Amino acid sequence: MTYLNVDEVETAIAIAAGPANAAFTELVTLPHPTWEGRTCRAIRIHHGGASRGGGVYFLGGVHAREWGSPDICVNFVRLLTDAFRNGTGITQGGKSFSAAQVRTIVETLDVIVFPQANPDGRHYSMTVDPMWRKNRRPVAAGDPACPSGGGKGPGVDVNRNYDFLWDFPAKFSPTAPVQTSTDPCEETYRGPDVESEPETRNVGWLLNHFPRVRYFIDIHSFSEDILYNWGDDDDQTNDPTMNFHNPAFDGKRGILDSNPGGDPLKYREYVPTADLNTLISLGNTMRDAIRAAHGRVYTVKSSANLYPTSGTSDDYAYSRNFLDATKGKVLSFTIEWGRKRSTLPKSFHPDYVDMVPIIEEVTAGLLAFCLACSAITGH
Amino acid sequence: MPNYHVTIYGPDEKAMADLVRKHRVTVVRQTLDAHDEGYTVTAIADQATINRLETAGYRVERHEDVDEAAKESLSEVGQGNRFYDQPGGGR
Repeated sequence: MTYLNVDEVETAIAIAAGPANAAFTELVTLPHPTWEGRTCRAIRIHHGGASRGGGVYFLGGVHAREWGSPDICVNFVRLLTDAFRNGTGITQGGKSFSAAQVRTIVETLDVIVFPQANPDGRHYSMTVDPMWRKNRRPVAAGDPACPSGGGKGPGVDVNRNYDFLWDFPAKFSPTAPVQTSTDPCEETYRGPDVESEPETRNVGWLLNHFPRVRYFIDIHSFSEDILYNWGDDDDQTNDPTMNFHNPAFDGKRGILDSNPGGDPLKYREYVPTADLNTLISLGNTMRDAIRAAHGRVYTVKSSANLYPTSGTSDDYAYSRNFLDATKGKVLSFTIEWGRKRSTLPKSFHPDYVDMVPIIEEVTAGLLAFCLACSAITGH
Repeated sequence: MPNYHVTIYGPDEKAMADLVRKHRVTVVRQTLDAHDEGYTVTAIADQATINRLETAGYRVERHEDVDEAAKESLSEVGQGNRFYDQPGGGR
């Protein structure tokens, strides 16, 4: 067995949304073609009238070299649609879900899966430079000549291009080691403007197109972590005014309390207590299902560490409701699947035989996540 | 110039933060780890960067040439379209 190539991912999703599953699936064509002219598609899975439990949105294939993420999404979609159509359960390693639980997911939630957000980058990574991370935005007049190899070269890191503290030099402390770059050659280049990239706009478009989405997971590798909001600084639950959109705190973000001597600027990002509790609870639910599948123990923690981030999908999805209350609150995660392996390339894309149990364990985690979301009300 | 997978050792969080804000190293942020004697993080660096970091006082462990090692992965990618003959697959 091998990783799915770009065409195979698209075909697999089209088949899952085909006539056999037409009663409970919808193939969604994204409006923004990629730089190389590819059209992206997502799938919505739901049976019955308006969903009672809101929606979940799973995203894969943002970083090109993390080959397993679209394969995880496709596996999840195929298992869920096959099981619902046939009235059967799902087993992934040592974790099983009953036919009734499958029905609960499909009849309660809108399940949105966008498996391959950056097909240009994936194709380049799978055919030319396996360490490639970014999209394939072409070089513009006046851009510097970039070195090649090791994933370096022109292009934008899609997961630094979202409208969340995108202008990090103005928003963060000058001494914060933000893992975002203004250099077009670097792996974490934020792009020439906020949401400048078609891949980024497609991800956001789905949030607008399915306004009942309340939960979001962006699937990445590696490190066996389940990360919840926020990624720019430590979380705090006491002061709603200390937040990402308050200009009074510009220039103060990004220094964590764990620094020696603490954070001299005393900035932390606000998260309501109820949200934080739900984030941790949902993260633990995924962790337990992943462990039950093949015994791997993922760590549930806040996304922030010594190297804070800006412009990421999970913080963007969650931030929208703080800026515009008419947009639903979307509790968000990033899963970093897989452990560190003997070489760095194999850490990002293990041999496929080693990827199979990871696909199964993360699929188990996603199914358990859906079940938990279907039981939650009030968001 | 080859790019290497490296493990960088630093004595404290300031040194690890300086990797990004001062030395402009591309670290794999989720690999930051604390040890009794300090911190480590995984990164990709060429030999000139490795030399520069060692001069600045970091210990750098050089592993594989990532571009060479990564070529092996290309055989793990599907060729053609395995779904083409399935209903709805396009044939």
